[in-house]
Amino acid sequence: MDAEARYDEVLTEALERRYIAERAVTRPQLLTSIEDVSNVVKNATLISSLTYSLSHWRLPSSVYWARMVDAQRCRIEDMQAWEDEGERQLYLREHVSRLIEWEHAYEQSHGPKQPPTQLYFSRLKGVVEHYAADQVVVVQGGTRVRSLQGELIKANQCLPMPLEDDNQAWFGRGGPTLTVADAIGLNLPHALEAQCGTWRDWILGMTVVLADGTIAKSGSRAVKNVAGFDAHKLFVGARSTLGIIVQVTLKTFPLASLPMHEGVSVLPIPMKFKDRSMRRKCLWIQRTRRSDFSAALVAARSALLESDVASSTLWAEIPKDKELPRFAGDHVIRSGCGEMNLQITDPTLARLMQRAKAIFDPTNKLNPGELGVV
Amino acid sequence: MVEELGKLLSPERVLSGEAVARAYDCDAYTVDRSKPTCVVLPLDTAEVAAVVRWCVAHSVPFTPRGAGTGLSGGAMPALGGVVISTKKLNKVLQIDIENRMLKAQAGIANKRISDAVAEFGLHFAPDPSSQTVSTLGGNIAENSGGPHTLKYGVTTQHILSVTMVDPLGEVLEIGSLVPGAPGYDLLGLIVGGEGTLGVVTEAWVKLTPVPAAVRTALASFRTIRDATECVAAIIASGVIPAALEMMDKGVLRAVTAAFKLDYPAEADALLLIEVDAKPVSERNAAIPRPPDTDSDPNAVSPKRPTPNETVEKELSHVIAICNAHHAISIDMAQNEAERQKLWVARKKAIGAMGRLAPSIVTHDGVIPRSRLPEMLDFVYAVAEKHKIGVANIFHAGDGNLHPCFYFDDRDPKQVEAVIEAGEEIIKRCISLGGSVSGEHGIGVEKSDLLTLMFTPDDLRMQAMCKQIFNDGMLCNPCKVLPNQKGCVEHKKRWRGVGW
Ligand SMILES: Cc1cc2nc3c(=O)[nH]c(=O)nc-3n(C[C@H](O)[C@H](O)[C@H](O)COP(=O)(O)OP(=O)(O)OC[C@H]3O[C@@H](n4cnc5c(N)ncnc54)[C@H](O)[C@@H]3O)c2cc1C
Repeated sequence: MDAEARYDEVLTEALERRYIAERAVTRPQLLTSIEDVSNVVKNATLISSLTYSLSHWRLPSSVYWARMVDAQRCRIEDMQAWEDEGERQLYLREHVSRLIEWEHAYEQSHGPKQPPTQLYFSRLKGVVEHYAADQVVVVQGGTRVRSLQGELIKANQCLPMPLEDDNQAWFGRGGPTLTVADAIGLNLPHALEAQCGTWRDWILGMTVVLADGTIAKSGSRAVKNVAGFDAHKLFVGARSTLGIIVQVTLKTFPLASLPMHEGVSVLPIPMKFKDRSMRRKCLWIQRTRRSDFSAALVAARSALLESDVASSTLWAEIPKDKELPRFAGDHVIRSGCGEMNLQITDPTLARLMQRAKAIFDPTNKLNPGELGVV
Repeated sequence: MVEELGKLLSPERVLSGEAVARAYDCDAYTVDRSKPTCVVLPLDTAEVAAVVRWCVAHSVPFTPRGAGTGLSGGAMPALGGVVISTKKLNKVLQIDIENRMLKAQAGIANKRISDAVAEFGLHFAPDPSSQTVSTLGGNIAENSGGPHTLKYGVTTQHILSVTMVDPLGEVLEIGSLVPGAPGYDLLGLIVGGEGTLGVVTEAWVKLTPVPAAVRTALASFRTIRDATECVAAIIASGVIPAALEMMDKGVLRAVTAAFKLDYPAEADALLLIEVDAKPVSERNAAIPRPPDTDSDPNAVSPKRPTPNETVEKELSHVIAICNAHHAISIDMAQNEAERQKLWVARKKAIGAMGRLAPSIVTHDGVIPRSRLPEMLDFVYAVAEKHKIGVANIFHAGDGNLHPCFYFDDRDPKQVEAVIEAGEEIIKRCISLGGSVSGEHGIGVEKSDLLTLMFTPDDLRMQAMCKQIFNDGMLCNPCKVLPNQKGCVEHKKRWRGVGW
């Protein structure tokens, strides 16, 4: 049995035994085609499609507890790596009891919950087509970033993001299991950003399922295109609050053109945190202007885990109740800090995001509460 | 109207009358025309907001306009009303060298941004061929590219934030000075929004270091197929040149006649190749380095190539590919003057083509790059079938074609042939996985063509994007999306842009 199948098995077993059976949640939907996603989304009243389990906003809506189920799923995957069975059991027990606690709190303030539909993408995966000569790949949303990289590397190409980015694991999804749709929804800073750009720059086209089940596409397979509004940009970093990303057309990078590391061309540089146990602590990702970056580094001092001078980004371990100094125009993404994880402080942006949400998801069924938009 | 707007600004900055209406009834796409009632020349964001609010209060349509070099009718006031010209919004407001960014008003010419920071070894990377006149606001609206887009990207990669007056007259700041801020990418919609989402009045742009080394070569080929296959091979090899521009024999003929340039007689295609490298300091910054590295402090890091070494290596790699594709000659610039000379054909071609025929119409389709050879064969076949002349000058590295048909527009048969040929070409671009426009935008010219590329559902999603900012019919109406209420149908005289 390959690792992925084993993961599925562990997932299903854990969900069913420890949670689904107990709390009468619908089974996760195993989606195999874009039409499947469309049908499910059309008929659902609530969709929890992604796991940003550590980035809870304000627990504003009925999806919150659903997200906890999702969180459970991600935790399980972490636990696979735990060698100590005792630790695993303890964690699971604690986690499940927290879930139930949250759920009670939710029911008290909102009344009985509706069962959410949980989209489970691991079957909507695979490279649809790799146009190697054009450096373009079309890929299903549920494809793991790691498998995609594996495919691309066979043709001496890649996505210029760290292959195993532990920084993604901080957000509830282990690096190895992060899907393309999730990675685009999260749009986290990465170590090659200044040189090679981000998802926003690599996405040439996208197919999404909108809240009413409509399948809509945007962009093309050409590397340059100004045909109409760049709708796909709106879904980058949107954490599935506006639509579900089911297929993406990406620009790939020749390995030969990646930035040089000590004079030798390397694969995208993995961002490895030395201490694995760090994964369960609180992460602080801060990006500043160039002029403030030295001061930000100094301020982080011993808490600093990693830094990227080119994009003025630092990764530090900062406990929930502490903060590092902030600088004009900077932004911070945290993990492990509940509603402090990600805050949209710009009132104009927040207002326009609400407006976009009302247009794209009028019944508020897609990950409500995520990013503060309901 | 003129009087009231005159009170809001000042009378001399509200232009009206027949001559003005005629001067502003189209942009560089002259097929469709529509006259404004007046043209306003605001000095700052507040004045733009005042004008927009006045228009909203009186249900008068308004259309932003930069230099009017747009090639799809974007700045044409389709339903009349007020043209908001950014002509006087032309100042650099702030330069922040340390953070490599500059804030300017939207009406500044693209080239002036680079000029303002040249002494610091920086520039604004988007370089549309119209850069000496086309404005920052126009570049933002059209998400313009240029010959160096291949390596440096289009405008959207170089805009940090904008100040904009939304279609209701409210002033919004969108984007962030530190890129990648969390939240929906609304700036990504505004760039490329073709002036339908509001009037951009100011923007912070990213500045890019001027390359420390540049090498330019001009290769000639006996057949266009050799040249296009060479382009596909260069891309596939993994090298990313700064520019990769192609001209075919139609263009060669025109520039040779116009500028007495000398190219090999048997050449049917020219390929202009430029490779460049960043300054060394930039490359060091590329390596993420934890501050407490446990690496051996005494370890000697291997020597890094200098920018000159890098470009020489890339150039020789590219030249080898050209030779493998039967290049008949390869000229290499030894200095800046020679470099400029190699660029002459590319830069002056459009002007020179005026000599070929009374009318020239150019298209802007884009295709996946590996399909260039078959696409060019197709373009020639279509021209031959319709018995019209064609010359090709294009951003080969991006797969962005500009087939120029030359013909006599006094002959209705030729006009008909040009229309049909254009449609065939656009349809082929789409069927190859490409797009109806690589850089000229949709405007009024191609809005009906969008239905060839997108389903009604796809277009509905685009309409939803527009609705976030613009839920009405006053801000630059009748552009981009097809079938808008109250809009006259695009005149199907001929497709493409007449030069
Ligand atoms: C000779 C020539 C060469 C060209 N070469 C290239 C090229 O290499 N690459 C390329 O991409 N394009 C090219 N173009 C097309 C054109 O120059 C670009 O689209 C340019 O960005 C338009 O700028 P402008 O200031 O002339 O805008 P305009 O033509 O005045 O307006 C274009 C669009 O932008 C909107 N707009 C203008 N200002 C604002 C604002 N402040 N806020 C909101 N909307 C605004 C208008 O409403 C309109 O929809 C070329 C055109 C010519 C004539």
